[in-house]
Amino acid sequence: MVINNLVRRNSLAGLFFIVIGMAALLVGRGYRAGTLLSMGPGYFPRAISALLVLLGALVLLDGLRNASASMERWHWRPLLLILFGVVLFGWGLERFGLVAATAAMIVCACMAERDRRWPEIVLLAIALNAIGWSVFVEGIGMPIPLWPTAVTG
Amino acid sequence: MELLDNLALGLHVALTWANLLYCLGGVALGTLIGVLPGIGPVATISMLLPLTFKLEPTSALIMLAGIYYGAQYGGSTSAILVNLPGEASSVVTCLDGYAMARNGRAGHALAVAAIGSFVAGCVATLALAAFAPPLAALAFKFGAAEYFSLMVLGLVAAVVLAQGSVVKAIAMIVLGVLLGLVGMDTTTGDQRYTFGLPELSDGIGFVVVAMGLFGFAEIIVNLERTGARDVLKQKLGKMLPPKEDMRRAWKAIARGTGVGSILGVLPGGGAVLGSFASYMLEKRIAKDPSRFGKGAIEGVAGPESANNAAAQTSFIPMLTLGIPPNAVMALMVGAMTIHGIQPGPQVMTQQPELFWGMVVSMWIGNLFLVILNLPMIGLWVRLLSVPYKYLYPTILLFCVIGIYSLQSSVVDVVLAAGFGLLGYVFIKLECEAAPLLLGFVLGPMLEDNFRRALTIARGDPTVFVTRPLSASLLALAAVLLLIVVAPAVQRVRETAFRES
Repeated sequence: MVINNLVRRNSLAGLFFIVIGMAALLVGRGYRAGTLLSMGPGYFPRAISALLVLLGALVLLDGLRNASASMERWHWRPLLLILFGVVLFGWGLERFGLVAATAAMIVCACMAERDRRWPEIVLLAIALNAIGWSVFVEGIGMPIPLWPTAVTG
Repeated sequence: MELLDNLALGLHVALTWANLLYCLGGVALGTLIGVLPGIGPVATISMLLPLTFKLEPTSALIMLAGIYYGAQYGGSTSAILVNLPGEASSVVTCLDGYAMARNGRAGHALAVAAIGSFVAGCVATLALAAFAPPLAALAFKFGAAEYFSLMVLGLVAAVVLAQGSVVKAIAMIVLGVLLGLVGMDTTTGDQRYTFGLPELSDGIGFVVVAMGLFGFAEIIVNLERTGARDVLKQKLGKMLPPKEDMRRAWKAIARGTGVGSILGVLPGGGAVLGSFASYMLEKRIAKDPSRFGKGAIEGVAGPESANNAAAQTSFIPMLTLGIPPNAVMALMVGAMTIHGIQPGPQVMTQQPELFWGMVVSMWIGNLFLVILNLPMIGLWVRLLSVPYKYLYPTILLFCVIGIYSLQSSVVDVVLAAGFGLLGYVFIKLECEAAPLLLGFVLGPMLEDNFRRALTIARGDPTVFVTRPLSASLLALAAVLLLIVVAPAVQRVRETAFRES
């Protein structure tokens, strides 16, 4: 019974908090704690991380004792394509300029849905490029390169 | 009368052409995102933040505030017409609002929602003007220990009133506090959790966290829940409800305004809680509760008044104590900090024109909203038919450019994608992200006051319980925690939230 509950939503949440708390303790192990009178940079983070581990343990225990719902299915297609599009934008913006980065992200994001037609995607990429350029570059004058630096020099 | 003088000053500020324009812009935008399901005020305010950099701080805050209460008006439109809450705070409006629309009384429902919101907005503005100054005066007596205890109380209360598991919500707050510690330690200058990345030494930007958790994760989840939206094709019908209905509605509006105004001030409160509480109240005191869910006008009038009142009174703790009671106010704190204003009691004394200008602008904004939402309702209805497949790429673009523009940092954009993943995990594990954002904003302040209190007390940890004000705040927090873990209260909470 208890083992069955381990892969349920609440137990997983508890494990998640424990792992993060442990990791924070590990990364911060070198931070000087100091004393209550003159606290070092490590005092508060260590207390908070330990508290997180403790709370995670409580959530985990509760999850093991009472069966919570099992985790909803993950939909990898929208998850990966949307986030990949964002990363692509960030990676490409200063290398290839706003126009290319926007287009790449929009194409990526549109692929997150199954039945999209190419003409529609292309039109959307053009329209959104126009919006991005007119609002942010022309409108509020943000210093973003529009084109690849190789072209503009 | 000091209050009248203050309001006159506010009028003077809010009635300049520029501020009127930003107020109108804010409430129109708020209505827009309120109508559109799948994008809420948290994501919108973080998206627009960069656009307000170059504005006067007062204009910027007037506009950002307008988005929040404007969204409360817009949210009811989609709830009534499409049975889809445009905002979380309009979930209960679906029950009777959509039922009214199906009976051919959509116009009545929309009108009563707008009138109720307006009345509530006016009352809440007055409440803000009347209660903020004494609260700020009290806050001046606070030292570091009191601030620490007050923040603890605020965070605990946020959990008590929030939905779902208490322990999970506390863990989310603590995780938020931990994320808030990333960057340079302000006291000693040491780097913490930066992994050698110079971009992280100023800490993680709160816009990065908010956009990832609320913007990207929402888009992804919306894409997997593909459901057809069909806008009600039939006519709206007459707008003004018949006398008998109005008589009933007025009382519900008055009660909703009261409930919402009180719940808005409480930590963790805000628009969502206000609307739920009001619906439950209306149903409980009705002579014939079976009418609810079948188109009872009180079921629209009460909650829609309550959510608007709560949206506005939730500014009180943020403006007077510098402590945000909900995620939207956490963003407002961030917005003020970006404009070089430290939120807290000193805002009212040092920048009275900012404070009172904002208060009065809320009243003006409500006036705009009635005009935007009654005669121009047809425009918003048409907007409802914009398909999500065009909407989400647009939202995405505004998000990424917005993040980049904060510090011209592509690292921030990639980091936000990481928070998008985190937000998705939270949704799948049913961990609410709003407490995390609260903890994230309060984390650095919490540590700072903790340290200062102990330094002043020469390292004596009992300082938090020996100073009477601090002790009573902590005691209140402890009592709240005890109450909420008691089984009896657990049951009431569960039924309260299940009624949605």
